Amino acid sequence: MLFNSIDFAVFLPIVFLLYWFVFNRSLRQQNLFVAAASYLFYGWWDWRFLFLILLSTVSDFLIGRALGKVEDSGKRKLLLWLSIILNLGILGYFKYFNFFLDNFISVFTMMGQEFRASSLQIILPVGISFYTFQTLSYTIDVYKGKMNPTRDFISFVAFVSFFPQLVAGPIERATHLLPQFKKERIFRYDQAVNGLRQILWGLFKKMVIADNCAIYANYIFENSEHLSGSTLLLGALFFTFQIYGDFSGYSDIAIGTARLFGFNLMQNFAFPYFSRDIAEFWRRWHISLSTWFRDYLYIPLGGSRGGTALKVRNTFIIFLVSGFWHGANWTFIVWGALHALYFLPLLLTKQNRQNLGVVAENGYFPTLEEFFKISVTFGLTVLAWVFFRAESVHHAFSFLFEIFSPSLFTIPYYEGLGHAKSLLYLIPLMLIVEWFGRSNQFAIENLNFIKLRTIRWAFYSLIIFMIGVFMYEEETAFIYFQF
Amino acid sequence: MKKEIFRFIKKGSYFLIFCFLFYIVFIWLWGFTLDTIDSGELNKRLEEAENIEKVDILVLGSSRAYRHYDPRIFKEEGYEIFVLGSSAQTIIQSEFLLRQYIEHLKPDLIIYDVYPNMFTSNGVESTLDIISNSNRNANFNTQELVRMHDRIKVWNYFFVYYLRELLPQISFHQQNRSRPEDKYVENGFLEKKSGTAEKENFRDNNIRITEPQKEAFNRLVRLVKNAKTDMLIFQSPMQDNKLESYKNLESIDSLLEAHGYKLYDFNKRLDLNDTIHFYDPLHLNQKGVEEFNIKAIEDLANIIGQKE
Repeated sequence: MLFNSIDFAVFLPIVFLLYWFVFNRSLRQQNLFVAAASYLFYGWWDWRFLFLILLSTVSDFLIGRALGKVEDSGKRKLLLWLSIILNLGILGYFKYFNFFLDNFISVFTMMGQEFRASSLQIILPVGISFYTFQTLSYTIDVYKGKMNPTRDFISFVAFVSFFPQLVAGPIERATHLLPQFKKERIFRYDQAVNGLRQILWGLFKKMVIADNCAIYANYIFENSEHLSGSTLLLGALFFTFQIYGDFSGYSDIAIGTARLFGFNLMQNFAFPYFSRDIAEFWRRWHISLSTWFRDYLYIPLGGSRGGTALKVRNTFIIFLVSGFWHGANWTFIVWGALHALYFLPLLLTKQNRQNLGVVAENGYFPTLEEFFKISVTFGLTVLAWVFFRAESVHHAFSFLFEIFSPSLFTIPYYEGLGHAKSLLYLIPLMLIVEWFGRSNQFAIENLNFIKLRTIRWAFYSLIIFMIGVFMYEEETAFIYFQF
Repeated sequence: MKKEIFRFIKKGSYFLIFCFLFYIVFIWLWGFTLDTIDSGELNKRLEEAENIEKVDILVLGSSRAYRHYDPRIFKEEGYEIFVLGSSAQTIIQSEFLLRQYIEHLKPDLIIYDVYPNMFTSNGVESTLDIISNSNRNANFNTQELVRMHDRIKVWNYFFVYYLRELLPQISFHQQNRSRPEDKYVENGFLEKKSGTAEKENFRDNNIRITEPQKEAFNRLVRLVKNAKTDMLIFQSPMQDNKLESYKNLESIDSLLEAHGYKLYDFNKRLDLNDTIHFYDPLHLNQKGVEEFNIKAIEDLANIIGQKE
């Protein structure tokens, strides 16, 4: 079920009313209802994959219980590895089997050997990369003693399958979300209103910005061999805003929806395109994933302790794995490697923790130096996104070579570009709103400085109007759905 | 806590009412920024259709209909034709327009000019075209057509033009922008004064007929049969590369055959030059139109003769 669909528009109010009015007699009842609603939400795509998420849930619940009983460190480690192998095994099979098979065959072919094998027709279950990491965080934290294993199976099912964030994050930590299922949720008017505001802003970013950028980005990337460098650069920019609008929009809708039910999810995007360096970018982009890798991979590997070689190794591992997590294609790995190259100089010169606060925190506008840094960081991320979007590494390089050719200095053109003129003011409008809301959890969180309710309501209505006028007609999936 | 929830629901309801009123006002204001969709003179065509009493042949279809069937050439051979084509028209719009005009125009024969995209497109663009060009020029209500799509964009356009009717003292009619290279000819033809085409390459386009289009075709066939009128299904010429890019055309043939129709494909019946006779991959220039119309009239006479 897509957030930007009529199905969800019907589903959400029904679930909301039942949750607060019918299934509120006990916590257990309410959690059971959340679990049932979440399974319905997930099964809407394909009911067969419910067995997979149930398998992941049951196995990690039992492993968690076992970790709570077993004291022998060797056995505990074994249980942990069992969880890791099971979860990553499921992920690996569904997401990466064909990738490894194809590359295995290519290696054999390069060595002059013939190797026949046919790829499997494997459908990637929606959200698998997200919920496997979420359950893994539980078993790892139980192993480390950060939390006690839960004996409440219903709460655990609800935690793993919680529908607002099941399919595309934020990837919640068990230490943060699971306790929320164990205490009574109180409906707070302000929290619910904030939730609706966040949903609204998320829908704007997704349906107005991302979906319209996608039309042009897709065309330009699919026909890149016929287009000029300036048009390709425009395509890269369209994709830059597409992926931001899509992914941060989804996160906003997820977090806003969770607020309606009294839950507090972690912030996943903190205005990353206003970052002053790449290190800051990675503190602001897909925060739940980058902190997951930091805590469960980077730090256990040694982090930034140790010598230069170790730091370089760990940095590359993190970024390559992060890239690979996004998809079974060399383009994602190259994308990750590129970000590692961007990040390393900052790490090695100990400048990676410079810009920790909000840019231009005490003013309305950035300084010239800040503006320059933001522009450079933005430019680097745009170049890297070309690899993320391209069909192959070769395609990405051809794309970039054409951008940096003399045809960069021609007027961008293709027949459909004329219709993109609305994006010329919609994207800056989004950036302006996000800029002035950059100190908040989401752009339009704090509008109480507008004293008159009528004006606030007019502003929200204007956003709804813009969604109605500019939205792309077809229901469109979120990019991260099939990750 | 329940008090808080009721307060939330109450305020939410008030907001929805506020938002709805706001939306209507802004849609009306937004309408001032809209030009009438430049659609190949559909407004003139509809205006004419209201005033004609009877035709021998009614031609339906997309821009390929109003660019390819020249009433002057048909008249020389004794056929009074009217072309009720519109830009990007699909079967949904064809059926709708036919229903509005079949009793008024009383055609002896309908020529339905088709091409593969008509069976696969969602038809929204064509509906917007009809909405924006119809309300001053036509005697029908587009609400039914709007409901067939159930899309916000279509409803937005519908509201704009509906409000223009409700508030005549404020609304204004925006002039259609005619292109200088086009010439509107009486009875629905739009002549391209000049132009030749280049050959282009096209990606394969796998044709999958959508359910709404299939249902619209079923309704169209019933409409024609109930009116006791004959219908012939033509595919006027297009560039070879364009035609070859369409795959799975058997699905269209099957649909037509299921209703007892045959596709008269003039790409096979006529040998035209892709550059000399076309001004773009899908449209003939006047030179191509003349060649096509002569052949179509010749074949028409044979087809009608065979049927009799």
